[in-house]
Amino acid sequence: MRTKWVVAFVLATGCGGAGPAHAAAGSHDEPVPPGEPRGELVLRVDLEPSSECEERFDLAVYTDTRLELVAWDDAHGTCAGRRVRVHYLKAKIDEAGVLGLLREHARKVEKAQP
Amino acid sequence: MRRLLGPALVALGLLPAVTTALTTLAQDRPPTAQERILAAIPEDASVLINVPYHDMPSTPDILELGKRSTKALERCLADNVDENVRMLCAVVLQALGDRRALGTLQAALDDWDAGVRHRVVLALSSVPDPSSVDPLIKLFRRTDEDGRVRFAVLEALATISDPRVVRFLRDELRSKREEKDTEEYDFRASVFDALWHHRHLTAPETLVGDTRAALESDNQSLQLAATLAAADLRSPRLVPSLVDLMEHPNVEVRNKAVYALGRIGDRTATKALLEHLPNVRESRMLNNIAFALERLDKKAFHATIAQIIGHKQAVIRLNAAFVLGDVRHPEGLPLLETALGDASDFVRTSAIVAVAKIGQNDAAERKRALDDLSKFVGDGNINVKLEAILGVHRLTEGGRNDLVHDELFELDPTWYGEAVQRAGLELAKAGDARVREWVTTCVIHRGCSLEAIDAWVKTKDPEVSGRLLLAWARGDARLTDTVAALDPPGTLPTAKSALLDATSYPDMFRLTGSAVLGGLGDPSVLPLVQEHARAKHASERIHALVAASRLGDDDAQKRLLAELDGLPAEWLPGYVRAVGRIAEPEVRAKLLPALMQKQQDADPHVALAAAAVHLRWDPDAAVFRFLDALASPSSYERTLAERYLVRADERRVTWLLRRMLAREGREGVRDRLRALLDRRR
Repeated sequence: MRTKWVVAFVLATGCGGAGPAHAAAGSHDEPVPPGEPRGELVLRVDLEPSSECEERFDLAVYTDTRLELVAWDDAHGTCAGRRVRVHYLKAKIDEAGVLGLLREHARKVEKAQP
Repeated sequence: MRRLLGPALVALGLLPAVTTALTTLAQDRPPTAQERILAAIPEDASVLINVPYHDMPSTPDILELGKRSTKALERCLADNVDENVRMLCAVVLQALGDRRALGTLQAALDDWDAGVRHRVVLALSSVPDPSSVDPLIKLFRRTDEDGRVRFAVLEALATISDPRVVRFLRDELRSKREEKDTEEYDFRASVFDALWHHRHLTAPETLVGDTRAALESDNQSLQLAATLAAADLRSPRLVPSLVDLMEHPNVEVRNKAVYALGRIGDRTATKALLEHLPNVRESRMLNNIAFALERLDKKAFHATIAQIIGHKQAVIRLNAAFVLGDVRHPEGLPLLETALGDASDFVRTSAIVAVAKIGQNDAAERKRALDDLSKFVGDGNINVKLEAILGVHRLTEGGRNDLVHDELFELDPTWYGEAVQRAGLELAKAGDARVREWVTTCVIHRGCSLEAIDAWVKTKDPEVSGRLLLAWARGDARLTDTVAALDPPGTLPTAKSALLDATSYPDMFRLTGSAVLGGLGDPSVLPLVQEHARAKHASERIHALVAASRLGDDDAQKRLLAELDGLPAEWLPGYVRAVGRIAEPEVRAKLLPALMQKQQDADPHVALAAAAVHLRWDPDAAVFRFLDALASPSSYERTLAERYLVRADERRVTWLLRRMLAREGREGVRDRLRALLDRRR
């Protein structure tokens, strides 16, 4: 009986996770107080190739409100070897957390020289 | 003879004084009727009542007075017997967007002249108010009303977000067509457009139902409007109606229907798209279907594109190569490698461009693409050679400057103009000194955009700076901010002379002279710009006020803020551009509290102009006022916010828009953010 419920739960959450991420109804982007501590990471990123790779990546990672901004290099239209500066909220997520989050949506993410 | 010499010398000596006296007399001529009337407008509300058309001051001259002219224009609209004068007054009232004229405009809906009513209705669209709903609907329903007035009514109703408007529009959309309703008087497309502006007031299911009805209607303009709406709505319920439109006789409708299917991304459309492919006869349709399939079913896409790239017609093979490059799937590389051997130079060129794009995916694909492209760098066809060399250059991250220079830039521009131009721009991007003179000349002669010389602007190259200053002094207004930032030797005296010697308005130096002087930060020119800050022409005055504010004049800052309330609504984007130039943190800090307050002004024109200045200064903080505006109960405010966001084309604003879209849970805001981002691609 218990196994059946566990399977049902896994299936349910799995199905939910496969769909595109959407913000909860009525929610929206909100300003973060200026005093909130921020961190910055400089990274080199290989994105999943597509004609809109940069935008697709942004739309996926920004659903996490602990990320504040992904500032891209000038190589617009290129999906590999992109240099980005990621601004995040230090009190809510650490460096390893940011890297893990970004890696879910890119082929490769590694730290670069600032 | 000698007797005459004395008086002659005296006369000669007096000549300059006499000339000056005559000039002064000419300047002191009595003012013309138009000048007298113009001067009286702010003081005398009745001055325009008896003015004949030929004595009316020009529209721009009245607009220079800003909202101080509203009262006189209202009386003009109510009491002048000449319909052409009343029309002109309504036109100016529309540009002013002053809500104080609302009652007069509503009363003028009963004007006996259709041309005046037309202008009055349009003027009401710049001051949207619920009290206009009933009079506008009444006007639309009059069977004897002129067609263009009724179209204008729908335009005005699109700006007033009110449940009565939505009910009226939905009734009109579904109303039965009568025989007398010819295509010319079929308002349904405009009705749908107005309804679309108020989509935030309609339940999603109702909106989808209305869109489906529009897609299935017998009116091409309505169907076209509905395909665009369907692309934004992205409801799978619209798929069957869109599939039916793939056979539509109108090419625009067919293409937009396929585009919408791709955007909706519902797999049920796959079969219909695949079945339609063999019948396609235009490249745009082919590309749209391919892109739609790529979103819907990647496996089906690859099976199909593999067939198309071997099509018997070169134009189809060419487009297939283009699509493969754009979607960047590595699976496309073998297909493109086959196309590199195509008999058609056009197909080979398209395939080379596509291989270069896929080569950017990762290291392995880059190496393979480089091997492929290297075979074509010496090709006999210039287009193939050009794309191969530029492709190799980009794949090596700008590592083949010499190849680009020797093989392309050195070609004879008489015969190979495009190749030379593209090679030059590529080298300029890398700051290659060999193209410095060429690209500076190209920018100065307007053959290249200003960004082409970024490399030398960043390093403040003295030779480039000097040439840009000369070009600015010859009248190239594009260079204003760049010259102020570079500040090459001689900029201050040149800009000062440009302002001193500027001829009468609208000499551009009355604006750009102040703009450069304000950016240089030298307070010695403050008296000169202060003098221009009293000019009667608003643009000249505002540019001078901006310059004086930047140079530390606190009074100018106060006057600059006050201008925001008095300017015609249509001129506020120009105000935003001018004030957006202020770069000094201490000046911004002084102006910001008042601008933040103005962002809450009851007049949306003023509120969003203040927010747009803030957006130029600090996008991260200012963008939230625009998010509020995109969620406003008023469709007018939503549309106004969209316009300012379209104008703010900085990449940082794009990133912020993406963040807002990712976190947006209100459907009516999501679709506007999505549309804004689509426009920025």
